[in-house]
Amino acid sequence: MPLRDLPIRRKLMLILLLTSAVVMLLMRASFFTYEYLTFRRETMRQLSTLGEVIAANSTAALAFDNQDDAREILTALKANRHLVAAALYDGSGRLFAGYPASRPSAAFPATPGGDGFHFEQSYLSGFQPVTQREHRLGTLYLQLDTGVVMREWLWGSVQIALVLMAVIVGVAYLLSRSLQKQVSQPILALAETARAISERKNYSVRATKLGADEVGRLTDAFNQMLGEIQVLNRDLERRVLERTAELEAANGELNRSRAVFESIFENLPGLFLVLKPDLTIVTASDAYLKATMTTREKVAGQKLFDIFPDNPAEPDATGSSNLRSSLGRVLETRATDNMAIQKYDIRGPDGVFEERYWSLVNSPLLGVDRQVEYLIHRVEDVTDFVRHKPSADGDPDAMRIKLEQMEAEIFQSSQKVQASNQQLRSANAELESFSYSVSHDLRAPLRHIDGFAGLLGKSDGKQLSEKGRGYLVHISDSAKQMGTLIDDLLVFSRMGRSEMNLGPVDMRQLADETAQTIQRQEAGERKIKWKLGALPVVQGDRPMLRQVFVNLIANAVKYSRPREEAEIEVGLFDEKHEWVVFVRDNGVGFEMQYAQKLFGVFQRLHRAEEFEGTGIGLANVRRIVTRHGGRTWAESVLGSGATFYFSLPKNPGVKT
Amino acid sequence: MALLSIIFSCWTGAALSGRRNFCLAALTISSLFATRGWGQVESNEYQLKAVFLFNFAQFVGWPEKAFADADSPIVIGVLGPDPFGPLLDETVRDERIGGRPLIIQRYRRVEEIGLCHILFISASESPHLEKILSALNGRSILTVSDADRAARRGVMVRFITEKKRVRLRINLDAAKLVGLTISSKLLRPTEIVTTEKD
Repeated sequence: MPLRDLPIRRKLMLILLLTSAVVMLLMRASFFTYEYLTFRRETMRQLSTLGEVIAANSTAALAFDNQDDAREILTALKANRHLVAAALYDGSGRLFAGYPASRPSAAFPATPGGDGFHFEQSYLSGFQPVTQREHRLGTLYLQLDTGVVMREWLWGSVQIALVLMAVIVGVAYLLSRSLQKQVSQPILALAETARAISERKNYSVRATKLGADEVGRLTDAFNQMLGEIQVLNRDLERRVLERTAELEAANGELNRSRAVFESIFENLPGLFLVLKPDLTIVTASDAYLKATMTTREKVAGQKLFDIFPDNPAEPDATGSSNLRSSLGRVLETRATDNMAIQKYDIRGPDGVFEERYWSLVNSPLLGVDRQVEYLIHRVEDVTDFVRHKPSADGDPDAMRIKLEQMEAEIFQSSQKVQASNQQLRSANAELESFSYSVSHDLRAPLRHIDGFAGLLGKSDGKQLSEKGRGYLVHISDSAKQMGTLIDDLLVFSRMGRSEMNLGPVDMRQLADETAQTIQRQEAGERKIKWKLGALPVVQGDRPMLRQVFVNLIANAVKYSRPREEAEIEVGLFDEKHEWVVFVRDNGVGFEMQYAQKLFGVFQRLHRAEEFEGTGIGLANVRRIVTRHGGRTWAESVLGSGATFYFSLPKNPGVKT
Repeated sequence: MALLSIIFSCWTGAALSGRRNFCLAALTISSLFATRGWGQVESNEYQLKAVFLFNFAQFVGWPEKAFADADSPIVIGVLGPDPFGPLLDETVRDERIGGRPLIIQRYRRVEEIGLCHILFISASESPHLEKILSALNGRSILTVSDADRAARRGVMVRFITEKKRVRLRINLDAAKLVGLTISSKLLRPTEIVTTEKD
């Protein structure tokens, strides 16, 4: 089992044990090295001291050439059992005395080497000078067997190390077993909580925090996460419940409407059969089932011609094959197919065929992909008609001829309606063209009247009486007014004919510009308080819509002239399908009973002396708004202002 | 030829090590061939004895009054016919003990003895031994002799030759009497005796 897969508890204990064992071993190793070096130094020092003592004692023996004495002195070395050899050399380097006595002289170094001791394999040996006062009398040789000592010491050291190791590892094991809990317990608790949660999916459980260390922080984060999951879960459950309820409601609604539609279909006062393109019966109306003497359960899912075969008693029957080819045509052309009246006998529940005459219509029901999804087979039972009034023309073909005649009549009358429509349209166009050319042609003589009236005033004015000059002025003014009228009529006519250039139009900008232009024209003379509200951007013809604002705002300014301070407001109602813009003033107003007249051509509610004007402006407004697919209307209370409304569709799909 | 060898050996030994015992070794080896003038045994014996005389200076302490000053020499005297020949002079040449040089003096009669620290009394003086010792009475001189019964007669150190080996017999009382101290190491392997009155 690799170390990373071990449980944390075991891992921690292993780490602690391993660490303490390694530390112990390292300490023991360094201590051992130190002991070993100390041991060597100490052994050397001891041997050196011993050598000094022996050397000092043996001076006289050397000085007075007394080998017996020398041997005796060396014999004292037997007290140290590790001292395996010793020897004295005289001043000339000859072996003087040896120890032990049994050792052959050849086993000693032949001549003394340099002073000092050194280790050699498992022996410590060396030479010590023998001096009396400053005179060197000879050399002492000593050889110590350190191997045995070393082995004894080493064995002791290993024993101590083993015992120490056992004790330390034991203590470390006991300590680590209790100390590792400090680290592992919180982690294990957390892991256990996480496992419990993932098994039982119970997010209300919380991990217990056992300390403020990293694991503690991890626990906090974990708990916080759980809290979030819980909240999310609750939210999710609530939403699922809501959604389920919604779906159930929708389902219920669907089922209800389905039931309603099924019931509608089943109760249709006609004979209907719904087929799939492979001629499998989907359903049938009650009337059909009654007429064919069967039930819905018996026909649903069955092939049409299995259920309704030809009468075998009449081998010449062509009902089925005619019906089959009609259905084939419907599938091919995806268009309704009318069939001539068929004799198509019906098999009763007792297997006996009943004579029947059918008038049949087959229609396709197309799906979103324009393919035939269902076939609707409508039947009119004309059996009674055929059977009881055979004398009408003798046979069903006469009936068909009569029907065809009726159809032709209907076609002819519809042709007539279309022709008169066309006539009306061209008459209208002629009328417009006529009014345009009349207006246009009227301008020239008017200019002449005005011009010559002016010339007459200038050249012969003095010869005319005061009254005559007054008439001239009247002629001139009337001509000018008529000119204005004609201009307005031209505009009105143009509004009805010209092409509309549609594009986005910022109504607020239009209203602003118009208000500014009019304010400039009236500058200094009038105090006008403007209230311009937010207006939409609409789809329309910009010059035309400008004309609408010019007319409505100019009107508002005009009819509020008697007021010391005019208040003019342009605002908006945001309706479901249309924008409704209004222009409101605090002017003289009008009586509501005339409200409908306002938008007609030349309709005026005030005399020209009171308020100048041609009576075409509002007619133009209505015409423009109508062409944009909107409506116009007005409200007022006489003497306290008027409000003019016009609407524009939000979705200008339909133009009139 | 033998003499030349000795001198050469001594010179080289002294030059190389400055150690007297190396000279002794050289003498010993070369004297094996120096048979003319002295018998071989006798020659070996007196070589040893000369070295022993020199060595006494290392193991014996004299009272301060025995020296004129710190640098004054240790005097080794020979009373009577000199059995050493040149050996003694060779032994002490260029040697110093405790900073003092060593010199050799030879006396025919006891009256000639002046400042002296170690006195070798030849065996030939044995008949006059008591007279000599009394003449030296009280002086801090280490008396050495190889005469018969010399130690028991009051000489401090006697050389005894046994089986070609020179051994020492010491009369410690006599030495103590004149204020000489003898190292216990010297005493350890020796036979200690006292003066016997005849």
